[in-house]
Amino acid sequence: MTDDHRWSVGIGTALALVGSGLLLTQTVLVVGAVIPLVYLLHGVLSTVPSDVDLSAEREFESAGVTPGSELTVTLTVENTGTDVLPDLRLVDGVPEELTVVAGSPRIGVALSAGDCASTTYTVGLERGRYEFDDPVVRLRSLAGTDERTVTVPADGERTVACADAVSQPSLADAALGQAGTVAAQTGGAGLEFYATRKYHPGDPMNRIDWHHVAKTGEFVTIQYRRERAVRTVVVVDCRPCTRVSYEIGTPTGAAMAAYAGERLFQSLESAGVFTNLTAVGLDGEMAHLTDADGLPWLHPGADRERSPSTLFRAIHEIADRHPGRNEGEGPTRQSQEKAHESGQTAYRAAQTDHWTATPRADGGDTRERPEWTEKLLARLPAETQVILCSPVADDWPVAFARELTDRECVVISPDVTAGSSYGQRIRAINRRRRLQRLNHHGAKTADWPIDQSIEGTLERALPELFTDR
Amino acid sequence: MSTSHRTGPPKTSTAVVGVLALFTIGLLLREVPVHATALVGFLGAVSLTVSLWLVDRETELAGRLTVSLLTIPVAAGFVVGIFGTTLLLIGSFFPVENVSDVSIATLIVLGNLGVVVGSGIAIFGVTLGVNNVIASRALTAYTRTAVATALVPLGTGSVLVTSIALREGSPDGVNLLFERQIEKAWTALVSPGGTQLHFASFLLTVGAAAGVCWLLVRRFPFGSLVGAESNRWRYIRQQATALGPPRRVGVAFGLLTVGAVLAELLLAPAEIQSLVTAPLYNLVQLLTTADWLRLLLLGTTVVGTIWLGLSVILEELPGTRQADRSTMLAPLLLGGFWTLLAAVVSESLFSWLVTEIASQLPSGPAAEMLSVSGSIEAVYGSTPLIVLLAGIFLGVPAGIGVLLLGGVRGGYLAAGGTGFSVACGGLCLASVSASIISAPTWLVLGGVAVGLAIWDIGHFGTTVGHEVGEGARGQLVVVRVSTTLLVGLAGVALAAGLGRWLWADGFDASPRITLALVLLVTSLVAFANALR
Repeated sequence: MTDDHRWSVGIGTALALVGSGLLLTQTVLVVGAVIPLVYLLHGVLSTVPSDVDLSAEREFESAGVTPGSELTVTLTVENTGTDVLPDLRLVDGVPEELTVVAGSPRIGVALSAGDCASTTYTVGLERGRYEFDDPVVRLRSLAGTDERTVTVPADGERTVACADAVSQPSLADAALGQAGTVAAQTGGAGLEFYATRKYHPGDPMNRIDWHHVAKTGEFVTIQYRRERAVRTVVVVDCRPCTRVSYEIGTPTGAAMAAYAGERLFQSLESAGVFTNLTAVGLDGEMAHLTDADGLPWLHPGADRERSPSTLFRAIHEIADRHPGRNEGEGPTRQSQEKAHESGQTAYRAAQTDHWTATPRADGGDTRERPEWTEKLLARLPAETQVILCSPVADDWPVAFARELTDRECVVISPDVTAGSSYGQRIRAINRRRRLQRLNHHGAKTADWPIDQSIEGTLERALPELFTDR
Repeated sequence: MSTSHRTGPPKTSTAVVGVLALFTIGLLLREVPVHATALVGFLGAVSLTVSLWLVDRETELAGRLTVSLLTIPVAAGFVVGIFGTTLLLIGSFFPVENVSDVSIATLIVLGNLGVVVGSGIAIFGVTLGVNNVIASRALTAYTRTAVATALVPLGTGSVLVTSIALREGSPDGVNLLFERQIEKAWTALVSPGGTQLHFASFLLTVGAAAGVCWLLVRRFPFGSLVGAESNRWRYIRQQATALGPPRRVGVAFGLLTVGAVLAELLLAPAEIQSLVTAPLYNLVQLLTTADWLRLLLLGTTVVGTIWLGLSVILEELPGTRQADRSTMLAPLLLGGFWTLLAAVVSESLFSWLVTEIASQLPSGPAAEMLSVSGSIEAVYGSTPLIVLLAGIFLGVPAGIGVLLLGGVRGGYLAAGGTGFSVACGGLCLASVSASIISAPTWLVLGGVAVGLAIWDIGHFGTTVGHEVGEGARGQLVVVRVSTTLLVGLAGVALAAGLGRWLWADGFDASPRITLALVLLVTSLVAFANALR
């Protein structure tokens, strides 16, 4: 391709100088027209070599990492031909979904024959499997008048897998111990000693404590801790206020909650626990996955159109959609920055929209149940273990946990408040307060710093879930 | 890929362009006898770029206040750089001993002024190219701020002067200057007499009225009246759009007007009459000189323009965010402050201005100016006049903003690297002007070569910044820059050698002017188009 624009400038300048020179009778201006014509000649004679030979190689520093972590990529391009390339500009084929957080995947360089140039950059990873395209190279002649764009096949690594929950359910070895059974605070059928009581006629013979009979002559019956078979419901919180991240390029709170939910769901399913899956905050266009009340309620054996994997795909899709961003818009840095700001607004709005408190004259609490709580309580069976995956970006999880008076509640909370700005620090304080309140209401909480693995977090925060009983 | 890279030109190319421009401008300015006013002009150019840069980044109150403050150096740069330099040059080269020397002295003044103005444009272009801030949004914000700054003094001054004029009437001496001109313009526009055709002025009036009507139809709120979703609205919209395209119609109308102007200038009425036959000539003349028709067209233009202005203000005002309105308070308050300051120092400032200007003029015009200014001051007083002048002075940046905005909206200044094109144009103007004032050959040729090199390196830097950003290596820039400079050097050497060899004896005068004019018009169109 040739840049004809420079022809116009040269001709225009030359004509202007000749015209001015003739009008003003200035010889110097007329001969000055030679200067743009020399530039013009230089442009005409300068071309990109016809046989360009380039090779490229890409290396990853680490692969197969978790969402939120970073991957360092080094791309090297070499002029394997015999001609000098005075103007080579290259852009690596970074997948659209990934954000470059440091360095640049672009090179602009002049390469002699046999020379090579490299660039190192870092991308922020999100859940999924991504394939890098071949780098695109644009070559220009020395004068910039001739231009050619080619794609150079890149050797080396090109695919990065970022902890795909479906294919890598690594929580399997740390599955919930006796998943689906909850130790109740009553005696009954079970394996663990709970208490003794006075013998009642009809008690099984093998439950009588014969040692006690031999010592005292009194018949007592041993009770074991009763174990109830309960249903587990995984609730993923992807309301708009949770779709915020602490830094450009990092996944949103909703995305990380969905990731945790998917890992847990797969593990529970593989452990044979009957688990339901639901989510709060799905947008209107997900109506095909939800029931009349706006909640999806899925189980492992559901049909394909409303299967958990379909729901997780949908949750991941909207979890990455920052509040205020239209569907189909690319995740540009500007839109992320805008969303980052609007996320704060959505967060504040959520606090007022979902939880309205009216002080009562007697000092009591007349808080109304938020919409999502009402809907979930209407759906939850009596004996249910609820696992709520939420970044706890507002008060709703606390309010929800408080309503689960007769149910076991576990809150897995990815921390997306790790930023250093004043606003983020205040948000972090608020989040910690909410986690404390959750504990106060009897919920077990797992605070998950997203730069660490979820398995380690669960083992530290909820050891009882990983102990075989 | 979602990535954000620094899209500005590489530092190396920017530095080379800056050094080349400053060095060449420094050398060119050595040929000019006035430096102080030129430096004020350059300061104004830099202030304008800084203002555009600030308004693009600082949208809060403090930013707008700074931009509003910077309208003073911008206006000073423009007024002092052009009018001040002109006055000083007139003072240096006039009066002349012989009448025959007037044209030569005028040419020298124009040459010097061309060097100063060209250099100022080049500085503005280079600073603009480095920051790449000539965007519609920034220009709109800047123009709004400048208008808000000028609004209070301009409004106050206009009200004061108008009220005094209505109460006291015009002073006798001023009639000579203003009323006669107004009367002439009124006669030419509304009731031209004589045997001439007056076709060109009629076409201009028709064009103005038609343009305003077209804009009115485009802006008319049909959607609000018939419902924006209705089919009828779509039909009306289609019909309104079908009135265009304005560019083609405008070009055709403009060519017709230019043709009419040339015909009326070059041909006598009798010649035109003989060409088009007498009945047709009389019929057209009857139409083009009809007072009522011209008055109707003029009235349509004036009323339409007022209507358009009001509709734009009323439409944009509710849409303006509260934050924008509050940021406009700063320039308005600052404008108020300048008004008060102008009123306080008006008496001494008026006499200083008049004395300074008169001291630079030849004795005849100076005496006439002192007499007229004395009459004006006697009727209006120095305070209203100085306040009005302050408003006009502060309105200059707004005018520059409107001009630049027109260039951007029209697509001329919208492309990347526009600043470097402007700088190239400025340096070429300065070099051509330097040839008039007998600057050394190497300097004129070098100025042209540097102008082209700045254009080339600047655009190269812009594309590199856009395509690879911070990934650009220094060697890439060095290779390109050194090549461009070497080619320019070769061009200068070749041109200088050619000049010595070919035209040592100068030109043959006879066919020169015609050829020069044709070449100049063609080249200016091509050059202006190519620099986009």
